[in-house]
Amino acid sequence: MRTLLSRCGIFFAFIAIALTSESLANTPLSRPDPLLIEYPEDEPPSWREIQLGKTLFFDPRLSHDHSRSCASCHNPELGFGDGLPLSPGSDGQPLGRHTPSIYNLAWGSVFFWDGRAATLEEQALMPIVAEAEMNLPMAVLQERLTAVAHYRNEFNAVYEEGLTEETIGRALASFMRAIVSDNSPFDRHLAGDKNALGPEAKRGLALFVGKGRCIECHSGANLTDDSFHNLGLGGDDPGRAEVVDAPHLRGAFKTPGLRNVTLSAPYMHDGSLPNLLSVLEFYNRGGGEGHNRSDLIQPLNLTQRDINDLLAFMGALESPILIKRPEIPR
Amino acid sequence: MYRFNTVYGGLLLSLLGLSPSVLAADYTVRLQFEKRPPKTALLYVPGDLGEQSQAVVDQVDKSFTESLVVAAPGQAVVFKNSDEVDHNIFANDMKSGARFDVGLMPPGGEKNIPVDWKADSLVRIGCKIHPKMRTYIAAVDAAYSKVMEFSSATSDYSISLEGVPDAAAQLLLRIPKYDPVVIDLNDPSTWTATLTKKGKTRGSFVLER
Ligand code: HEC
Ligand code: HEC
Repeated sequence: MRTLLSRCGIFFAFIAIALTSESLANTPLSRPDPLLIEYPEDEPPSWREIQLGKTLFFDPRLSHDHSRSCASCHNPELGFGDGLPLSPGSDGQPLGRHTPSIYNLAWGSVFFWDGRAATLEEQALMPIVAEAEMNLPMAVLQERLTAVAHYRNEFNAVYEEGLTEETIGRALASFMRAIVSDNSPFDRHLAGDKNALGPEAKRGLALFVGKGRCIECHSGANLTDDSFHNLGLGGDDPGRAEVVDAPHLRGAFKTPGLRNVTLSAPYMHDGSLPNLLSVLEFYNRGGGEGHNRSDLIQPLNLTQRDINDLLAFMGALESPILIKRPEIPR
Repeated sequence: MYRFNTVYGGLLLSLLGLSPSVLAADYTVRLQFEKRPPKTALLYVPGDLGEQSQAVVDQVDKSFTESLVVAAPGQAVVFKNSDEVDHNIFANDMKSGARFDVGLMPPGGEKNIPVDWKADSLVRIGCKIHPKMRTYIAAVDAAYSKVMEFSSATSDYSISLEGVPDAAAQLLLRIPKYDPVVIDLNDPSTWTATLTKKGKTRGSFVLER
């Protein structure tokens, strides 16, 4: 009797492990929770601070020759990208990496493809001064903004310190944290709406967390583990290994979130995959041939129908954000 | 006069070979945060009363198992990986001089790192592969300690501290990024404090016996 019981115990424990092993290692997919956002001031920014950041985001004053704003590369009408494999830099030459979308970065813990910025505040100032991007020294930007009555007023109203390098970063970061996509068909499905997803997207979700193994890296509310992996795309970009002294992370890049991913083709850090179908075919083959590829990337044996279902699921992550372009103050 | 008695009483008891915990007190701490609360905090009584348990930092499911670990300066922290994936734990804290890299650690790995940085510091520990992972090491000699965890949805907390050694003179509160709070246990008039972050008010602290 006792042995029988204990055998049952082991048996049930085994079943329990088998059932939960999927969710054990990965944060389940979920709706973005505003309570989990870590604001630098421990509370959401004011509407006025967000508006100030938004105006800066669209203002070409932030570039050396007044030719481009943040929105030139992160265009809200193009999924906060620019539709190009590589955006042209300030000298017209293509940049070294593809311009990522910037949805739901409020939940992010590390920024850029290689994670070299720890906060959005820090990140926001980097493209302004980067020679290849906006190429504008901070001192010149401060002078330019101080000369505009609107910016003087707004910075003084929003920040005790007024207009400083730090508050420029804070304003831009506050706007970016407000770029939240959380009303997709998938969110409605998670909220209990049984008709939110069609049969293809439902099967696609099952493949995403099952046979396709996407959940190994694209986990949590924004479908990213905010970690670094090498998919074997190749090329000589060291990726994460350039930022932290860790040779095993050579060629590893940050897992991008997949919210609104349908809007921001082309894909990958090098912009080398033109559309989502090519991304899925890439994963199905077992990734690229490049050196140091992650063991998590394996051939998937997805059928044509599986691929279509996964495409439908990614379509169900779409919830576009309409942004009225602000008037640029004179 | 009162303090005199306690100290002498404690001495007498230790001379008699009785554990100082015989003379212990229970307190309640009330914390209120005005904005979103922090993730974790440490309350402790500084001092070296006997053995401090071995500090262990472990990892499961791409997270640290503890939100904060207390380690005695001069001793070692054991880093373990009970996860199914590789990790690479490191610290790089200018203020305390805590700079170490545990290196790539496969599942089942274990490594000791000496606590050779500034004492009385609170250092953030991360993983190079999984930047979301976060825990803290408090390098303090603690005769008593209690780690608290907070949820972002709740702003009021009441926490009981049981068995605080009666000889304890001070209680310290350390919260990452907040200014430290020091309470004189012998002077109940200091038992309320304002919680501040870079000098800005963020909440209140009340100690009751
Ligand atoms: C010339 C095009 C260009 C301009 C202008 C530009 N960016 Fe970017 N942005 C990029 C590229 C390319 C990357 C990726 C670089 C990398 O990871 O190394 C990037 C990355 C980012 C990221 C990181 C996203 C993530 O997922 O980690 C954010 C946030 C961002 N930019 C915001 C801004 C802001 C704010 C501005 C204006 C101050 C701006 N960008 C201007 C091209 C641009
Ligand atoms: C081993 C972790 C891992 C797995 C498993 C994985 N991905 Fe990815 N995914 C990444 C990383 C990392 C990138 C960026 C790689 C780069 O650019 O070098 C990425 C990029 C993408 C992109 C491009 C996003 C963009 O904005 O450029 C899509 C789409 C995508 N993955 C979908 C999927 C799907 C669908 C699956 C399952 C079939 C999957 N991923 C499995 C880690 C993973």
